[in-house]
Amino acid sequence: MAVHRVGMAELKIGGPGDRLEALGLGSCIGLAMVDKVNRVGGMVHIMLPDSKIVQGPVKQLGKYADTAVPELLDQVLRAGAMRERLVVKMAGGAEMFSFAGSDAPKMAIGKRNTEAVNGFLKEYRLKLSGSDTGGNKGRTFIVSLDELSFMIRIVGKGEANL
Amino acid sequence: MGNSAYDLSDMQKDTIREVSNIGMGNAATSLSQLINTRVDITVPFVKVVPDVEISRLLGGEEVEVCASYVQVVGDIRGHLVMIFRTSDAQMLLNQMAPSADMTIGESEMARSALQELGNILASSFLRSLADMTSLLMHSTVPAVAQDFAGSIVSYVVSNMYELSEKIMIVDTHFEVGGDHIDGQCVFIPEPGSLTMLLESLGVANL
Repeated sequence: MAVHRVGMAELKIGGPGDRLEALGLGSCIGLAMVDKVNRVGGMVHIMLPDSKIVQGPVKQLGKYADTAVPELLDQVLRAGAMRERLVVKMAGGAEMFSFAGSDAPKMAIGKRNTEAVNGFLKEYRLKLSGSDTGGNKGRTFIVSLDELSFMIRIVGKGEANL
Repeated sequence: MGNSAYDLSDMQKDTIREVSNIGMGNAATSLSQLINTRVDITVPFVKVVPDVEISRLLGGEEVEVCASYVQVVGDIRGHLVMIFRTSDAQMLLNQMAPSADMTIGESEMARSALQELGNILASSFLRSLADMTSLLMHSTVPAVAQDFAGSIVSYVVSNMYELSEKIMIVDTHFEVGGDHIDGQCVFIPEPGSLTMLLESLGVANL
């Protein structure tokens, strides 16, 4: 059994018995796709909604929602997962800070990330079967491929299954 | 957007480090006066970081922290975040007001005190930076959160990575009362503002 830490902009693939972990997601999104039968799965830690801001070729495909969704799908399928057996879940997209006053720039990246990932999942005809997004608290997202469990941890609220 | 602003020379890095050292030193003095305890700072660490590395800065994504986040507006735009472990922040607040109920996460006064702490640190840092550069800058009212360190950092830097593929951070550690309380302050200027800072410090082409 291996534990795969999925840091910002990273994408990791695991096999049966492995764990995939994105620790301390803030406005970022942890997106997981797991074959519920053979337990091959992957997770990506998406930071931003759109790769259009990049000049030239996008090197970090996991970083942007538009490139991360197809790349994760492609990689789990190549690792042996079957598309029709995929369980797709996501967590993150929080806004932990709210600024008072009119001179504070409005960012809302968490919300934009969530909307972008939802949009691309639809575009690739992937059905989301669980999500915990938004709000003002960061999340840790841990997927156990062995147990086919999707666990969320939040400061002050403990753990819950997605 | 281009990343040329981030090809910093050693001279430019040294200059940023030096002005940050003075600014953070002033912030430490303000904190010291507030809590009547000695506050030391480490020499600021200036680094251009790719995103994957940044979450390791704080020594643990799941450490519970209190953060005060200020946006810098004016001639210079940027982000300034003060981070203390929640247990350390609690000790600081108890020193600030020994007789009040300052339980973080419960007391409204604790929240205001954290905000005020962030405000004092940010404004003393920015005041000295403004003095040295003759640029106009001020801070927004601090936003306060209690969360995982990784969540805080990724939230702040995501905003920056939407503007540029690289960011420059100035990372300074505070030690309060010997080494009992350890805090961290991260300053991240926006790309265009970094160029302006270098120009006003006379090292744009050095």
